[in-house]
Amino acid sequence: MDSISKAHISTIKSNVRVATAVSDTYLDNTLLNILKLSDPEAQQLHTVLERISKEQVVPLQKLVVYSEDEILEFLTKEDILKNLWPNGINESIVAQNEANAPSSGFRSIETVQLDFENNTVASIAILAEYTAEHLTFIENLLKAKLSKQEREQERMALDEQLLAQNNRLSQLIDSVGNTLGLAYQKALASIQTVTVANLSNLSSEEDLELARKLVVCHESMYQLALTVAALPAQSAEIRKLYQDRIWNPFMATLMDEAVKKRISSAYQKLLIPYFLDQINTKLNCNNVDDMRLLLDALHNRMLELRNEDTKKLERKLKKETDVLTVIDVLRLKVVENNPEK
Amino acid sequence: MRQFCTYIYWFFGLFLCSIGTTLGQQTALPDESVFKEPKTRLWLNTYGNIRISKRLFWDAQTHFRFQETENTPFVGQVAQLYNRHAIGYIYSKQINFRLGGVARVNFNTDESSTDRNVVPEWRIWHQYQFAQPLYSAMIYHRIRIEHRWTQGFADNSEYTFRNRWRYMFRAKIPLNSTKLAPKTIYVSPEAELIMQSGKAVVGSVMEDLRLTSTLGYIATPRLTFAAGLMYSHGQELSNPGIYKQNWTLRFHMYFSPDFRKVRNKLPAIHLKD
Repeated sequence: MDSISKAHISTIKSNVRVATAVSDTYLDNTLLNILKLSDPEAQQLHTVLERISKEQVVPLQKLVVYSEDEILEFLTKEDILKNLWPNGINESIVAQNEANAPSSGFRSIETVQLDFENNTVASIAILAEYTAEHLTFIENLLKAKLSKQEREQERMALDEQLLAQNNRLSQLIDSVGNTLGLAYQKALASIQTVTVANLSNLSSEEDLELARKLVVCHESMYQLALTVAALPAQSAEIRKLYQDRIWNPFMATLMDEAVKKRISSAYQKLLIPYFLDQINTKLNCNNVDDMRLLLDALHNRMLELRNEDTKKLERKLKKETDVLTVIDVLRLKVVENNPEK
Repeated sequence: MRQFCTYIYWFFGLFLCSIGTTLGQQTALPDESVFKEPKTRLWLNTYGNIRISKRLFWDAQTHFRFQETENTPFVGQVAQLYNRHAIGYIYSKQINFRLGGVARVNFNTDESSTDRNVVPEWRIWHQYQFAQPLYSAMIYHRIRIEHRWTQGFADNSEYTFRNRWRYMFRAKIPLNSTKLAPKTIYVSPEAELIMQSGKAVVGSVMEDLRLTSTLGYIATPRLTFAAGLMYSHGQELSNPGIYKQNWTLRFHMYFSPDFRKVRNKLPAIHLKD
């Protein structure tokens, strides 16, 4: 085999690789198979893809196999053509190209000059190049179609997820609402108000990015609602923790006595009302995680402080009514108030 | 225990003996018991109970006792300043004992008297208290024994030694709670019989019978306030046929600070755990 033929074979190989990749990707693509049911254009592209794959890509792949098995140089031009296209080549290939190109809208930049009988390998190389270009053209069309379809499907899935999240939040509020104090019920209602407002801001248009963000945000909102629902129990736990059993000698009875009153009082009277107020007035997708983490941190800090030497800290808390100072004294991270964070 | 029984026999023997002696003094006695007009008194009492260790505490009581006079009815003038101290031992949550002394200053409230205005009185006392929960209330039995040296207001009067035998039953019943706890108002009915003995006690063995109703408020486990009205009557030492009567308005403050370090306090509330 001369060097020119070798160059042609090399071209064929690389173009067959491209064509095979397109053909493999899209022939059995589930999304395309669904899409073609409703989209005639997609249907037509799929048909063209099928035919090109069957009548051009498969024979070209055979040629590549011959080449790799090193039997190509033992085959005559006639053998090659007969093995690749048992039904004949010229008419069908030309016919295919004429039939296919208009249906996919593909126009080759160069006029395809095919002379299989005299310039067999060169013609096959041209055909391979044409096929690769054609399939790449079809791939670009399909990509655009599928991308739109994928986005629509994702949006639908996100909408379903948002709806499910909304239902889950409602169920949580319904199940715990009446057992909680009014302040906690109000905070839960505020969380729901924010999520409902978020949903109403989500247009029916294809605002995929916002929908994605809202799914994450509403998951955080749910977690915050769980935290708020757990607050009364946590508060009771803290109240009990900050008590000692004291022997009252006059009654001969053990009694509960509040200890580290400034800390427990700051927790009960300042911090919890403050955080509930923050939820009622400042809650948004940007600070929801901060609020939840801060509430968790507060609870953990209260558990720690019970066993720590807090004399200095209690001195600092004396008559302190500014919540932010108290948060600072307790070394809690301040919640970000700016919604445009 | 045997010694305790001996004590009890002695107590009742003395009691009967006193009654016999009283019966033998017919000539000085009136034909019928004479109840003097009741006097009114006002007592302001503070009770401190300061924990010293796991089982020991210091009982520190200071009482200001006023008695009516002709010029100052009802509240009257200071009759006694009363300092009662003891070291107490907590045997269990229900049982405690204490032993200590009393230094009392008696003021002469007889405005017509030309005797001394102020005389001291000394006592050694020991007390055995048994507490018992009963539904939401607590009931208490208190036996207090006092060895007492008193003297009259007259110049150069000798000290008179007497023993006092006191039993008190008291209940504390919470009104606005299911148990005696902080922020609880409680009512406390109380009855105490004080008997006495000694050479000077010829027939007047019942020194005082005190019936009290008190309303209290537990502000914190360490601070309680109470106020009550007490009716009491008892035989005059000079004549067992004559009974003095008193109506006493009593105000109490109970406080029990604990200055020990936290690590020492913690196990103390569970004495036997």
